[in-house]
This record gives sequence, structure tokens and C-alpha cells, in this order.
Amino acid sequence: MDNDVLAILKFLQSDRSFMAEVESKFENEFKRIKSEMIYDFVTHAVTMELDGGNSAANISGTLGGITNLYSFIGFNDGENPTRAIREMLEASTFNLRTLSNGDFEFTANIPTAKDIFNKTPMPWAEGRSWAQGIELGISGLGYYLKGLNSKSRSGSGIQSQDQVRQARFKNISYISELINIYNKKFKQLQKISL
Amino acid sequence: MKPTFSHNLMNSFILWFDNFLLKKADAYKTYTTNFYNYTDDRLGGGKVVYGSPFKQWVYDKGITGATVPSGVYINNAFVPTGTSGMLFDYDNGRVIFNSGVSTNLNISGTYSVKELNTYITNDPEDRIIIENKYEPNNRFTVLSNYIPPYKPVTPAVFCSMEGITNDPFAYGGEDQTTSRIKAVLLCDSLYQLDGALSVFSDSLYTVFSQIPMTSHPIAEFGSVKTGLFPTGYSFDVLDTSYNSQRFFITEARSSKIRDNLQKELNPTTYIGFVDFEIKTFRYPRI
Repeated sequence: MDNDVLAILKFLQSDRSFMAEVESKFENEFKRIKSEMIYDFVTHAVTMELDGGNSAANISGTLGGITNLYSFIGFNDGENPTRAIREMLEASTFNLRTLSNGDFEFTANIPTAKDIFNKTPMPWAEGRSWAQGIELGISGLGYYLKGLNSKSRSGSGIQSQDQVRQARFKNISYISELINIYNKKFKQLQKISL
Repeated sequence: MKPTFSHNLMNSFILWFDNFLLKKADAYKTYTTNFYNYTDDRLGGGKVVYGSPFKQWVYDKGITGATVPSGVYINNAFVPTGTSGMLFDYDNGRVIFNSGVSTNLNISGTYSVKELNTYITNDPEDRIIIENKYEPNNRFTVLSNYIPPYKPVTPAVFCSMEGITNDPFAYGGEDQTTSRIKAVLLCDSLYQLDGALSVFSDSLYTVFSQIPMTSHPIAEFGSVKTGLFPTGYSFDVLDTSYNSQRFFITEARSSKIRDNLQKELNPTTYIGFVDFEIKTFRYPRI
């Protein structure tokens, strides 16, 4: 790079109003993509189905309409399983660093799929993640246990083994794909034109 | 069909799994018991069977402290394997003789038994846990009878292959192959369950070799293949001899069913899970 150009870039980096303008531009772009990411999450069929609770239809197609994800995974009434993920996505931030060659280094701090899996325990086995299970497969154990648990509390609701057997789970992409897509989109911000 | 990658993976995994638990947790017990005669029509050829009260004996000579039997006492005289075709069926916990051997012998022997038996299954975990009612290995009951062969007994671990994915890794067709294996643990005490889960949580970043099906140590009647292992089977030796293709455990996540649900489900069995992610690099299209 020409020394004169470098000197100009360094001068600009030391200019507060210029830097405020740069940060604002990055911030706006970051917020736009972050909103898209959250929108894609909340409108994902799995999220919408889980947000519908016990009475939701199986719009994700994961269970062939036999039951819905909320019951199949075995969440207790009133639980909001997707909230933790949404909060993690909303807590995403960014860093902007000036480099000695006059460039800017932009880094988005969004949760990894693994971070999310660690915060989404199965209601019946804490070390397992229901969000990962959506991608890799979930057995009918939660469905059965939920029935067993509600039977013990209310005297009704047990799932028969036949019901459990019918409700076979078909895994689909969910969090890993979302995070991969948005990691790429945030990386594109590095090439933002000032 | 010839053995494929997934066959070799499951073969290697189950051998590694057994060895890892036995070695890291000394998860075996040594007994001296009598053996009891029974008939087993599956064997054919008039074979004579004497069963012990326990299934799945330890046959890995690399396990320090475990007793891998080399013979039994018949009417108080030690008789080594090979006599009258005598061999040990380690999986079913018994000795098998050629036809013509008396069915009224007084046989006793010393052997080590796995604390957790291991099985490969295709059943989903809900079937393993809800539908299959397993008999206990006769560990804490009277040792005055044989344990029937073939059917799985608890405490046990049921391992199943959940899926395999290939992702491009390098030019020339090399892929990163990611496999997922689930282990369902049915234990008879919380101590045992916590111990096994702890051992396998610590298996993260462990490597083991791809051992082909042809080198599986167990032969037709449940004995160790003497042709392949003339001085006895040791996983460590086998693992070293096949170290050109290695598996790498990149995830070992343990969990157990919440206590309140556990009691509803089965108050005498403690249930846990270990979900393994195993990676290797290979050329699947060559």
C-alpha cells in the first residue's frame, strides 16, 4: 500500500467523527443481520411448533402428525423451551478493531451451535440437548415419560407403548444450519464498503 | 455382504468400550462358582454344556487383576481348555464340551465377570428402556444355578449406531466421517451408573483403531479365536496392530434420567446415556 494512502487511513482512524460514522455503519449492518437471524429462528417451523405448546400442530413434519414436538420431547406445561435460544441470539454483539495497515477487523460474537446445545437440556435428562436432538434424532422416551409423569400426578395421560412407537421422529436441520448461515453473513460484513 | 465401514466401526467401538470401562474403572468382579449342566439345542453336535451363574466373562488378558480362566476344576482336578474339546463361551458364561462327556460332572471354576455387560442393538432407546424387561445377571442372588444363554441381562450397556455423515475434508476425495453412537446404560445402583458415566465422559479426545470384523476376538461358540490370538486376546495389542486408521472421540456427552422420572419408570434400574461423536478421515469413494 502506498505510504500516503496508509497515512490518510491512519489519520482517519484517529478522527473521532469518522470512527463514529464507521462504527455506526457497522452497527446498523450488524443489527440488520442480527434481526434477520432472530426472525429466521422464531419463524422456523420447529420454533413455531414449540412455541405453540402442548396443543400445537406438528407443522415441522418431524412426527408425521402423530403428536407435536412439545409433547414428544416431554416439556412440562408452561415451559418455554425456545426462550433460552432467543435470549442467546439477542445477546449477540460485535467488536470493531482498527488495524495498523488502516483496515478494520469486524468480529460478530454470536453463540455457537454447541453453546446453544449446552443451554437446551432435555426436560428428562439434563446432559442431553433437545435442540441437538431436533437435528440428530430424538427417541420417544420423553413422550412416554411425560405420560408417566402426568399419570402419577393426575391419574391420566400415560402414553401407550403403541403411541410412542407410532410417533417416530424425523430429524431436520435447525440450530447448526442457522448459525452456519449467519456466521457466513456476519463474515461478509468484513467486506463492507465505507 | 462384506463388512463395511459401519460394521468395522461398531466392532472397534464395542471392543474399545469394554476395554476402557474394565481398565479405567476396574469394572469386573471375580468369582469362584460351580457350573451346572443344561441342554442347548442351538449348539447341535451333541455338545455338552455347563453354565455358570454369570454372563459375559472378561476375556481380555490386558486387564490387570482380572481372571481369564484357562481351565476348570472337574471333580477337584484342574482340567485345561482343549480337553475333550472344552472351550469357554465367555458371552454366555459357560463351558462347552464335545459330545460324549458326562452330564453329571462336578465342575467349578474361577473367572471375572463384567460389572456392565455390553450389547450392540438396533433398538431405539425407548424400546430398550420401556419394552424390554431384562433379567438381572445373577450378581446379587443365590449362585446355585446357571444363567440361561443368549438373552441380554442387566446391568448392561446397549450401544447403537445412530448415523454417519461424510464431509469433504481434503483434495483427492478425503472426507471427514462423523459417526454418532448412543449408549444406554441400565445399572443396578446409582454408584455404578455415576461411575460409568464419569468414565465415559472422560473418554473425550480418546483415540482407538479401526479393527476389522475379521479380527473380532470371539469365535463361533463364544470362545476366543485361538488361531488369531494363540496367547490370548488383549485389546491393547490388537489396537496397536491396527493403528493405521484411527477413530477420534470428539464428543462424549453423558446424562441420566431425572430422579423423579427414574423412580416412576423403574425404581430398581438406574438409567443413563452417553452420546458419542466419533471422527475419522477416509476415502469413502475409493
